[in-house]
Amino acid sequence: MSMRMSARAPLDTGWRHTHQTVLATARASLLRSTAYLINIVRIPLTPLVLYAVAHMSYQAAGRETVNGVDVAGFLLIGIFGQIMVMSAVWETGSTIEKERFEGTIAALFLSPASRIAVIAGHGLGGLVFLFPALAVVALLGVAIGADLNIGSPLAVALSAVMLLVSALALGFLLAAFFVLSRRANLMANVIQHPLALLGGFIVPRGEFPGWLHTLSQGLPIAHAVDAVRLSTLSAGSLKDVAPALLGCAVASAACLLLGVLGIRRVEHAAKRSGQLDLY
Amino acid sequence: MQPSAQASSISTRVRTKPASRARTEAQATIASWRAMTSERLYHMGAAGGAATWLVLPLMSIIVFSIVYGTDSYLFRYFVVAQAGNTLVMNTVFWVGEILDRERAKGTLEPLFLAPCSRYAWLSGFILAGVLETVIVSTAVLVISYLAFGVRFDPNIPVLVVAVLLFAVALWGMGLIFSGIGLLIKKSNPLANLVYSGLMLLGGLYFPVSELPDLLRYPARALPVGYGLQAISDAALYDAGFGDIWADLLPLAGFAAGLPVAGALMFTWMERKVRVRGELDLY
Repeated sequence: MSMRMSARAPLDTGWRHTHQTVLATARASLLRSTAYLINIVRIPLTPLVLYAVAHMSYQAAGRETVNGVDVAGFLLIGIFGQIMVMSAVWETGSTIEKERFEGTIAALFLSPASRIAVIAGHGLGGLVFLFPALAVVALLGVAIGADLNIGSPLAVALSAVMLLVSALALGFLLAAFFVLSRRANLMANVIQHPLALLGGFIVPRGEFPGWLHTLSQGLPIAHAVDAVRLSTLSAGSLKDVAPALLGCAVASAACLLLGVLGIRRVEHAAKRSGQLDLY
Repeated sequence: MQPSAQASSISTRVRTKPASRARTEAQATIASWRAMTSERLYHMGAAGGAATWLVLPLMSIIVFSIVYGTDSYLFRYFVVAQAGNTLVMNTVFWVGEILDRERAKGTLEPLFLAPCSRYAWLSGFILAGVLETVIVSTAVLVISYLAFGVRFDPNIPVLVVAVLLFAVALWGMGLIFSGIGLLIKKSNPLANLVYSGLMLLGGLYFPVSELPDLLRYPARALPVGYGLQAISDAALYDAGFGDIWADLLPLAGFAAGLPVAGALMFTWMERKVRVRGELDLY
């Protein structure tokens, strides 16, 4: 019997190995998410309905504009932010908890794969899974007359990239936060609502009470949504969106750092206490 | 050597007196209610329970106080609708997922083999959700009163009738969702899908009368909009039976028809699953 050694150290370490792990995990995550037709149908429907309901609520209240821009456009970008939070909470953030629930967490922690790469892969797969949701929401935006006003395509592109980065960074923080609790599903259900509020997705952060506005400053997605709104709805230039992008970068870096440190600490603590596969 | 337990079969029909049978059913209902309540409290913990119950309504109230303004009739309607929404969520996410959740835990088959009717333990499980519903609804109304200055002028008899009719209609809907969840084995995605539809058509955020024509017609084919409007008018404006008959009448129709339809559909779908031998597959 011939048996191939799977470990080809030291060549498979480093960037190439990480890259392969990210792609393989993203593919697996995507396949798992799309295994049931009902998942494919319902994922775009939730943000779509939220967009429609929020728009009709503003119409019922007789409000045509929010923060100086039309309601449809304001909400369109807000719902994009909401979809990113869905990705951070239910995909990136729930990665390790899903592995635990499926009984594969011990194998994962014993494998030479980087935990960070695995979480990034799940996050990437989750973002791809949610792209149809972005598309249908954008279509509804066009249908109800979302009025875009773009001055700098570069500012739009940078803001969009930061929106994705902030979702991944937040997901890393949540992954560490969820995993030791063994109540990840409960926590995910609870935390998504404050995140949606603090992100200013449905109402502008400028209309928050002071204490709530201060809290929202710590959320990277809130800054990213501000930047995307400014660049796509108010013709904001790179200079205009720079403060929001900077705020997003700082908050994202903090989330990423805390997340990575937290995950390492969680793994160490879980292995020592023998609680890795308990839930 | 200890004698082994006497062999028995649940398929054996034992003649029991009706009073004894009713007592057994009641005991099964109470026992399953206690077991499910204990399990929920154990899993969530006090802090988790409070957060789960309060965060969503509180966040929604803050957002819509900004959208509508706290002194508008839309905000007052929204607050009462959110209290009613706890019943809707209970129907969709709790009642609708009960059987599939038991299947995932591996306890569905033993439940079906238990020597009592399935309505006994099912009712106990549903009652466990009602406790949470009452807590959240009360919290929503108290927070709105204290923090947002919403004032109520309830017509108690009308309110009680409206809430009861609404709960019975939703219970019937819940039975249908539960049966479908059992059949398709994906009750949580189904619950999310159904709830999205109710968010749009159920008048959870504004009265159904504010919907565009295209959506208002399908909304009128559901009990939720009628129920929330009737409860809102009775709770906020002292509306009498004569004032809200246009909502109460269709709601009464749903309350009469949906439980029957639900029980029939549930039985049909359950039989289908058992014939396929899929009771413990997921």
